[in-house]
Amino acid sequence: MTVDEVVSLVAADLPYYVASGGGVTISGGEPFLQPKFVAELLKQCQALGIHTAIESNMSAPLQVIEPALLHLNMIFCDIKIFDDQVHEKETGVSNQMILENIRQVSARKIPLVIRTPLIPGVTDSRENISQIATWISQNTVAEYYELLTYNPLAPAKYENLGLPYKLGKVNPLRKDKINDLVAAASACGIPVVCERI
Amino acid sequence: MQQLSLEDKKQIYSRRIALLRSDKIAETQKKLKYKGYMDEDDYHYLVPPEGYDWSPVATHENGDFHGYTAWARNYESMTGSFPPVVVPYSSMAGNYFKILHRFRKVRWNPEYDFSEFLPMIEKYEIDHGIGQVHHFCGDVRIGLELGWGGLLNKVRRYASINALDQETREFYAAEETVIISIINWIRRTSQCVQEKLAQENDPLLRNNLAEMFQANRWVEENPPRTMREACQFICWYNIAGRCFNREGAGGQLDVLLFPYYLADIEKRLIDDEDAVYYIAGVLLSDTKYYQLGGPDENGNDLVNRVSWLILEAADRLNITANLTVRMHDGLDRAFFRRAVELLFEHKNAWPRFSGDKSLVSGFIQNGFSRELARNRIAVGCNWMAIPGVEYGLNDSIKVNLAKVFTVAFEDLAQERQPTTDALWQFFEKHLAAALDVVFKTTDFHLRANRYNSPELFLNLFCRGPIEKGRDASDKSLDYYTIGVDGAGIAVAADSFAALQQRVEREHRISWRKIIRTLQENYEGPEGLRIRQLMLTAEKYGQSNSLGLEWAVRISQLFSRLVSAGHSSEGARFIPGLFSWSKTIAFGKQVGATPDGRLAGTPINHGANPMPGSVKNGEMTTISEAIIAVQCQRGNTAPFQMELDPGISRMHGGVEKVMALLETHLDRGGTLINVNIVDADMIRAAHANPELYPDLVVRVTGFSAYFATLSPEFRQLVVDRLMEAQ
Repeated sequence: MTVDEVVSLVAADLPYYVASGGGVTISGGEPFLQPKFVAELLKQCQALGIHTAIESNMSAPLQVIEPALLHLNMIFCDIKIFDDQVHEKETGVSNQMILENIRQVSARKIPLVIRTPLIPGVTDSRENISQIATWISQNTVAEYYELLTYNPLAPAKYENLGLPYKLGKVNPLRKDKINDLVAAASACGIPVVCERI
Repeated sequence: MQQLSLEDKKQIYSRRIALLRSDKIAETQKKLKYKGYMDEDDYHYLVPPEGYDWSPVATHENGDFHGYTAWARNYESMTGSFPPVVVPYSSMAGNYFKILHRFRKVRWNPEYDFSEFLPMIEKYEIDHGIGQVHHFCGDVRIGLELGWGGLLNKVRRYASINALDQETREFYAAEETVIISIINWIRRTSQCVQEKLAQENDPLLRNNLAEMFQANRWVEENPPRTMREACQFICWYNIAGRCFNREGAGGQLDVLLFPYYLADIEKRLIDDEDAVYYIAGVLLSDTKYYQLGGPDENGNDLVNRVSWLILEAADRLNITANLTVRMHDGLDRAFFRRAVELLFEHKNAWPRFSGDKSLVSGFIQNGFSRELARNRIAVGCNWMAIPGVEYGLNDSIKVNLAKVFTVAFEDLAQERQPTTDALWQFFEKHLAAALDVVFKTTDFHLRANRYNSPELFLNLFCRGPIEKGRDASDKSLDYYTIGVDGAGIAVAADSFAALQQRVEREHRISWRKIIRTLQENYEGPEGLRIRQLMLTAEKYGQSNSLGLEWAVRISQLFSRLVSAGHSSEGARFIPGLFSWSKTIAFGKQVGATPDGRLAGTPINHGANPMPGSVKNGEMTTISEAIIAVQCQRGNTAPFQMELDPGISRMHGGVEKVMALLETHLDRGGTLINVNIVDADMIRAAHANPELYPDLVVRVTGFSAYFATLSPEFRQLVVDRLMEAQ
């Protein structure tokens, strides 16, 4: 599809965006793997008066992201693990570029939501959550920090694709554990959201 | 009770309502065992006691009963056979066990021959109007003003003026029998309340039974004076009407009850807790369709304190309910918000939402005034009616557009050079022919239905029948606006679109090949490939698609032909798009279609696209499609909206749904039915329905306990919900 074709589909729903204050969120995969398309789409949406947002892992170089930043009203991004070595071990990349991009976005005053998926045994330590929350409070003006409870749909998706699911069987977090993590994050003085509790 | 604090009272009433709720769920389970699956509304009637045995007296050699006297006498006998129902912790007395209409063996009195229409009825498999009953709305205010005794006097007074011939004498005698049957039924129930009172030791329940006794004793013959009496009268209206012929239209309940509420509050006879308790009794008496809010004749919002209390009662009762909030510019925003919140809180598919703007502007197109259009309220599955003055046979007459398409396609298959233009001409011709049968059979019904299944109950609550001595089906009301619904629009539109795209534009398949493939129901590997090709053509529901273009064209044709329908009996015809729960039955009538649909499989629901047509079930896209196919004559093409409960977890989920509802209705939508059901739960309930006895879904315009649906129907609901999620 061309950008014009996507915009035409989006524009058909304009009355609903106006009524709800909603808009377009570009999600993935990773949208910044197609940076030119994304930037042009956001630009045209904004020209129609549509609120724009993106969900990204922010692990692309700043110069790749930059053209899109001009046309974004909101950014959702993840900090999964604060310890860089652990981050690299679990995700395959360092978190330094991610943190720097988030700092840059925040400096441009684009409203920002930072999220951590609570993956049992990987991201759900009190220490990790406290470190991330502290960093957010010191380096950004994020709207809020969101803890996402683990989504159990992934194993089925991997199975459908014929891929091994390396994390194996994971039990959902207990409610008191989630409450504890929310308390740890809140102690850092930033607004914290966790919808499942 | 009046000495208790509001908080203590609330606790007591809430406990009682919770008990009534669990009774209701247990009764539903019992009903399921007694009656089997029920692909329809749950009316809150009871399973007859062990050993109960009643059947009607046949008055015709076919073993059936027809006409005024037969219906009246069987009604008298049946209601007389019902044991009185009194539950000491309920606010209201009375219930029933059987519906007289359900004892009919045939739909029509064979003395009035309509075989001349059968070939065409069968050709298009039309759901025609001959022998259809109720599906219009009584004006309960007539009863509230007169009481049963006043109604009896009215019948006798007009009989003395009008009963000059045998038929009219029979009419009035039958009406008299019906009223006396109801009075006797209430009287027996009052006696039962008195007996229970004598046996009851709990002082609070004694108090309740004493008030119940007084209310029932009074409304046996007199017009209600208080909120409790008005609610009890409405319960009897609900029960007595439903067990006559399944009549289910309620009315504007908040406005009906408000004067009684206000008077009682001013006299300090009741408080809001009492009112909620009484209203819960009304809601438990029947799943009648009630409208809440909306504009009065001058456009002022009708939401009052009772509207809120009805929501509160429904909230505490938390069972099936058919409450419709009428959206308009002046609607109390807080009330609207609360209505949407309740959708999320209980996920029981109520309330529903209707759109004043398009309903009014559409009805005006038929030549009626704005004031009259505003009185046309939501009282049925998909339909509106003006209580007491309009006869509509709504939700009764249906033309399966998918079937008409296949008849047209059979003609096309004989052509040497098929084209979609030629197919359209055949479709136009056959739709006109199908509708011609609809018009003629409706006239036939209006001429003779009184000899078949007269409206002896609703006649009492209309303006005209008693005054003129003629049945409501015999042109005694002010307006005969007959609803004609088109079903299967998506199948027909997608079929046109698939042929135009794949055969004519892309030349991916020849006409001969698709004709043969459809005859073979897409069998074999080649059939499978062709089916995939046709399934992936542009569908109704997708933005700017060929399917949408064809759907609009079909809707406009249907609307034009129906609106222009001629009636020798002076009726008008009003188009709408609705399949009710007949998506499976209508699908069985239709062979394989060019949209990739296999023979005998369900058609689309109402005005919704076919499942699978819209990626991720995007609500705004579906909303726009349904707006585009509205018939714009005051009847509905409802939007069946299936929402993921995840939306409530999002920030502003309620506000987003409010915006979606408002935008759809503001842009031309007419009615929205909403389901919010968890995908995992619905799957689990489908596998083990008995473990989910209180799971409620809005099947179509009506809501039902999921466990009471047949496996085939449950599958359909599951597929629809999964599609959205």
